[in-house]
Amino acid sequence: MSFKREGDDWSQLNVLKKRRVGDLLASYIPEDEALMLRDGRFACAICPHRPVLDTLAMLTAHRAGKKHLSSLQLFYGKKQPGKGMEQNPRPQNELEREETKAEAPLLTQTRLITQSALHRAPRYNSCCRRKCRPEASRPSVSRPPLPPPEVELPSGQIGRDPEPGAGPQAEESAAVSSPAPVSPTRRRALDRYLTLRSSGWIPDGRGRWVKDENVEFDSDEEEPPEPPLV
Amino acid sequence: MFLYNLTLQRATGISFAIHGNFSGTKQQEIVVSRGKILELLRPDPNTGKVHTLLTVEVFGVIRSLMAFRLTGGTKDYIVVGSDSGRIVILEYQPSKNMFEKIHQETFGKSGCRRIVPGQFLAVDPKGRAVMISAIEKQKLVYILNRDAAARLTISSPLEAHKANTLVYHVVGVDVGFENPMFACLEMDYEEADNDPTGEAAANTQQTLTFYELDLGLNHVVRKYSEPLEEHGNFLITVPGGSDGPSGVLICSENYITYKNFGDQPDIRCPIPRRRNDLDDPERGMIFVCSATHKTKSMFFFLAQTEQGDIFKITLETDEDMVTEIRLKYFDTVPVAAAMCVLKTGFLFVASEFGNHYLYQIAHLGDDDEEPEFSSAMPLEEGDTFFFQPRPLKNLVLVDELDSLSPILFCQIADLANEDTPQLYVACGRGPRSSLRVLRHGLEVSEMAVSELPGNPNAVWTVRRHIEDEFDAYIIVSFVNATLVLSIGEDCGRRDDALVQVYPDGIRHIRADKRVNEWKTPGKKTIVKLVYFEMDPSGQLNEYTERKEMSADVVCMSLANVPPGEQRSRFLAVGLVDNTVRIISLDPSDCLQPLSMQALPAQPESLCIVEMGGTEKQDELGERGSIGFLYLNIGLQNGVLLRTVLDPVTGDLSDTRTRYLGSRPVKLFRVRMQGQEAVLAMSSRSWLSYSYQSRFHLTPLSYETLEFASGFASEQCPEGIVAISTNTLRILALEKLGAVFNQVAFPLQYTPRKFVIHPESNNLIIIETDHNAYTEATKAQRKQQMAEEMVEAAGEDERELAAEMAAAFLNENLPESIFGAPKAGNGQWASVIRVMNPIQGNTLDLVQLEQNEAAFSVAVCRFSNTGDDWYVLVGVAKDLILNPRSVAGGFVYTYKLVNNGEKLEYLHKTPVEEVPAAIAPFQGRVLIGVGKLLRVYDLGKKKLLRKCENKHIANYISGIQTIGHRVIVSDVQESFIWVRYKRNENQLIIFADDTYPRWVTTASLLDYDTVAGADKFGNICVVRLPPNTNDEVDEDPTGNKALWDRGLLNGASQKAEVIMNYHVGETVLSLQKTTLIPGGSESLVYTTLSGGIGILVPFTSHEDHDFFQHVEMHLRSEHPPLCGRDHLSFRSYYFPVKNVIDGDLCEQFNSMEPNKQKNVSEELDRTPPEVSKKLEDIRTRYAF
Repeated sequence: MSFKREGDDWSQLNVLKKRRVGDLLASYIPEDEALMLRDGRFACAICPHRPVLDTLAMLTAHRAGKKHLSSLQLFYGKKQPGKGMEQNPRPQNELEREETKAEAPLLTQTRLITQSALHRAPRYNSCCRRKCRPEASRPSVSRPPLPPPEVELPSGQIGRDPEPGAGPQAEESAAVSSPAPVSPTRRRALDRYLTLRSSGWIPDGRGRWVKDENVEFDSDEEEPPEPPLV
Repeated sequence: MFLYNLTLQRATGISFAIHGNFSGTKQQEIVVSRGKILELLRPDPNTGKVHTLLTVEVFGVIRSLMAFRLTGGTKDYIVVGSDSGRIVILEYQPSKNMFEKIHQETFGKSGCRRIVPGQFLAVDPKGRAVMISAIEKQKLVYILNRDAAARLTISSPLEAHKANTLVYHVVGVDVGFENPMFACLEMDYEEADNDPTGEAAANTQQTLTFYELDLGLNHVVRKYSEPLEEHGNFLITVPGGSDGPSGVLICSENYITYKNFGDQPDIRCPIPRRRNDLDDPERGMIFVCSATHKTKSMFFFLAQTEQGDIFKITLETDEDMVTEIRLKYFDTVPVAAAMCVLKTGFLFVASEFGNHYLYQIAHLGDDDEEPEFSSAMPLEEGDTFFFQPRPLKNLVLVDELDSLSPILFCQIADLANEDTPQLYVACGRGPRSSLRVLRHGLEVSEMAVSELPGNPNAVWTVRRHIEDEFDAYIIVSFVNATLVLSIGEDCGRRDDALVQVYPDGIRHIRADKRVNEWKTPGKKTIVKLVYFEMDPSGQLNEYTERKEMSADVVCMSLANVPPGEQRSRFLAVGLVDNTVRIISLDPSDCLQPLSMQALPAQPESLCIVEMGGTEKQDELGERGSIGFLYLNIGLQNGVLLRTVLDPVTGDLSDTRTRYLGSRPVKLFRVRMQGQEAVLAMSSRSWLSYSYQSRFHLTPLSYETLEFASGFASEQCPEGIVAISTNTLRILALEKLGAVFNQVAFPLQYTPRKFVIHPESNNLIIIETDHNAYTEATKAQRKQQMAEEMVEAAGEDERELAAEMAAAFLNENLPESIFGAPKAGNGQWASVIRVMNPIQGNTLDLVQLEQNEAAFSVAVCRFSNTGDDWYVLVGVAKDLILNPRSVAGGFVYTYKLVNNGEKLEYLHKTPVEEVPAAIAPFQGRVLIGVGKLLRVYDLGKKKLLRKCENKHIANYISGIQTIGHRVIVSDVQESFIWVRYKRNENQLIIFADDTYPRWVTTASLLDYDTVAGADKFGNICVVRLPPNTNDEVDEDPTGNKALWDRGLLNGASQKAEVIMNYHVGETVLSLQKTTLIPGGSESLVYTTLSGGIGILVPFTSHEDHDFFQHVEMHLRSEHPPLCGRDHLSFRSYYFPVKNVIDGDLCEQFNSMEPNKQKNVSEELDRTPPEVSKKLEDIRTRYAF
């Protein structure tokens, strides 16, 4: 089988080239700007209506669209700019170099800053395994409903609770996240959140817990169990 | 990952059994097929023990097996119908102990297909032709003959095809020397197929069709066809020609019918039924197998019903016209797949499930009070005869062949604290099921144990004369005395000729009390060798020269005198300086050293034996010897060395080493199955023997022994007499070749699964049977029947009826032999049993209600209840298999109390479907309810459903968990990887497999890798690729319903296939474990047919390369026996990937020497090097 191109239709070649470049550049889509779905498709996490796109190419195309760009502004407007700047002087230098070329300097800067602050391997590149994701908030966090303030936690750490037999991947990420220790109270709160959540209680956004209607409870179980006194 | 497949124990279930004189001598042998294995068994007419002579794996599915003998011949040949699309004729070569393929004729595609012949075989009773038939349409007839050199010839096939015809059974009709004739049970479905109203389908009848092979015209004609009233299931051919009336017996539901050509009217006799049977009386009764016995003067048939009752069938004739069929209840044995009556009066019963039996036919049942039923007795249509089943009367059990088949479940663990793990195997079916504990070792049967006055230090046996068959005396040596025991009636002290060795010299005491004495020259440690020969007159002669050794002699061994020679050729001497020397005893260079070998430690004992020779007796009846000489060296550090001793030069080569135990190794020469073997004694006793051209070194499952000697007597021709402290024991090792010895504990119903309670090591077993009554229902039905009996009786018979009813209620026939009553479709019975696996006693037993079928069990702890252990049992309610329907299910929750000995009922949780899989998961449980995967937590009144995933394809058959990952095996769609997200309380599918696999069992190998087996007999290993992302999300848009539905819409990430391998038998358990202490890990599997095998990883590329080449050469140099291509067999369903077949590689040892040489030359090695490599890889992982 040969992949040699035949013919001299330059427009087609350019289309292919563009697509290829798009594919290659797709890996620069920041992790929290898109969601990978169970069935292999992608959802844009920026746009409030969460469009689902079948392929990476379509996601890239969507990301170049007007609607998306306006949502992008909205999205980053909410976020605190320059979050990791103080800790990462080096990437900032890099930013400065690129800054000059950018058409929308502020926007690009913000985006790059966030990206560098998170500083991780590209998400959708199949050659690379996501190993180091320090302090990364996972895409799911940005999804509503947000937990009430006292339990608002970076769930990326929740998932990486070091547990027996969780395999090398989990251990590694646990090791990476260890530099930022969680205070005991916070850990207790976290545990309680997870326990309640996994036994079918849902935070209603006003600091109270309600029963998930798809989950069964003991008949005398009206309130979520009190946190253990320490 | 590259794996090597090794079989530890071959399949034990038997699918076919035929008998005949395969070795060409007077003795009758049995050939059995065990799926993909062909085995030759010989029942010893004297001892009644069944010995296995030869086992060959054929790498194909044996679908039919027949024996035939050419007219006037003395030797039987074997015809094999297999999935190879070829007919194969085999001959057993006793001199080489192998099956030789004489003819292999290709006629169709390979595989088990409905129109490719191979399913049925029939031979002309005179051995002139063989018919091979497919299930549908095709039938081929081959004419068998002999050429000028008296070799068997086979013709090109003659077709007897008929389209649109299904075949149920084919037999060769005995017509004497007229044209060969075959009878077929057929059904023509053409009309039924073309009639859309279905009327024709309802009216279609089965026919009995005769095909005649016209030897003159050389073609086959469909001679005669006749529709049958009842639907037949098999045919029995009736002796003809000069021996009987010819014709066939048709076995059908409730009736047996005799049919023949010409004026012969049909003779029909109902099949008798058990009196007061608990079975459904509406259910028909059929015969399932039969055996024919024919002598010059008479013949009879033994036919077995599906309840296990054997009837003796005889035919009354009047001038070659059959007038009457007579049936007489003979005995009841477990339901058989095949039966063979041998000329020596043995009945071999190859059981459908469980152990096989050899019975002696003690009486023919001619002159007892048992009523005889006849076709001539007038009966109403639909009425039948009744008989009373009873314990064995005509048969006497003489031998039992252990069979694990079917193995339903197995776990390997060291529950008995023995260092080496045991295999806990749930096997059997229905009332014949058992839990068996397998341990590596040879079973020892103790023939006699006698106490002695003191602690002896040695024991020997001698014959009265060299030509005697049996030993006459046992000589027991004490520190200061010698005790001679005579074998036979009077066991006491006897005086006869013997040689006493004492510290100062040797004393030769003769029968007449004359004593020759030889004193050693002075007191010194042995550094000299003095050679004596005993001349024919019984005089002890000393050889004039003596041999000075460089160091003290610690041990010596003389080889046995080869047949036809005066003296043995070599003497092996072990010295203190850690060497062994071989010294010549040839008169020309007597006491000249020939070779020497340095040892890693001081030798303790030596033994030269001849092993590995296949020829035991040549045509003239002389004992041949083509085996190799081996020098076995037992070292003081507990190591056994086995070295090949060159029979001419005395050179030592090819040393194999094995650690036996902590004590110095003592060696004794014994005889096992006509060959020499070595008994090695260290802290454990081992037997080193050659069995079917492979060396076995197996520990004896017996207490420590100190000294032993071979022992032959009438009762025990190949025994061992041994000393253990102050007792003398006579032992026999009968199950040579078996890797495991087993202890069996009976169970009530078919065991489905069991779990081990980790704190008490008790087993919790679920046993479930379909078509069965629970104890309660059985008792109730019995009571009901007894009441009916009394009610049905007239006024005056009341008392008698009441007595009979009482007798009926008290009657208790063991179900393991007589079978359990069949309750009908959709009737289930289950128990939950807590068992101590060491003692085998049942600690607790919970009977479930009628029609509750237990399918899954788990033992777990819940995070919200502390340290208590709970047992969860998944039960289906009113399950009907076909067409499938179920009324729901329950999950029973029990608390384990009393240190895991008792089950305390907590509650039961109703569910919608069958809960077929339960697995503990993060302090809760995952339950597969039909196709729903759910997380349950323990509640107060029931289990509480906390989370659910509805996207599994069909039916969850198993659940494995690791970390947050859950690997679900679907009954049809392979594996599905699910991740539990705690903070969202969701189970999300993130990966699956690309192949459909009907998964039966699975085992996790590591975080990303899972091994699984399917119901078609494949094992696979699949792995998630390294970039797999298990943090995928559900579609957030909410339009999932539109896009996400449908089975084709699988997960986006796919697992990769690491290996694929077709085992050929359905694998029902897989476990990653180490089998020997200090060994490496291997993947152990057990199969439905009772086989146990392992897959072991290669540790180096060179090894893999080497074995790949061995396999490649063997595929071409040693093609499988039944004509199936090895590579295509191992790739039956999926192309074989990354697995090398050790079973094929090990056939290297049974190849002919010149071929061995060719293959090993290709590999740049010598044959012993290759076989050493084969042995090494086996002993590194297993036994």
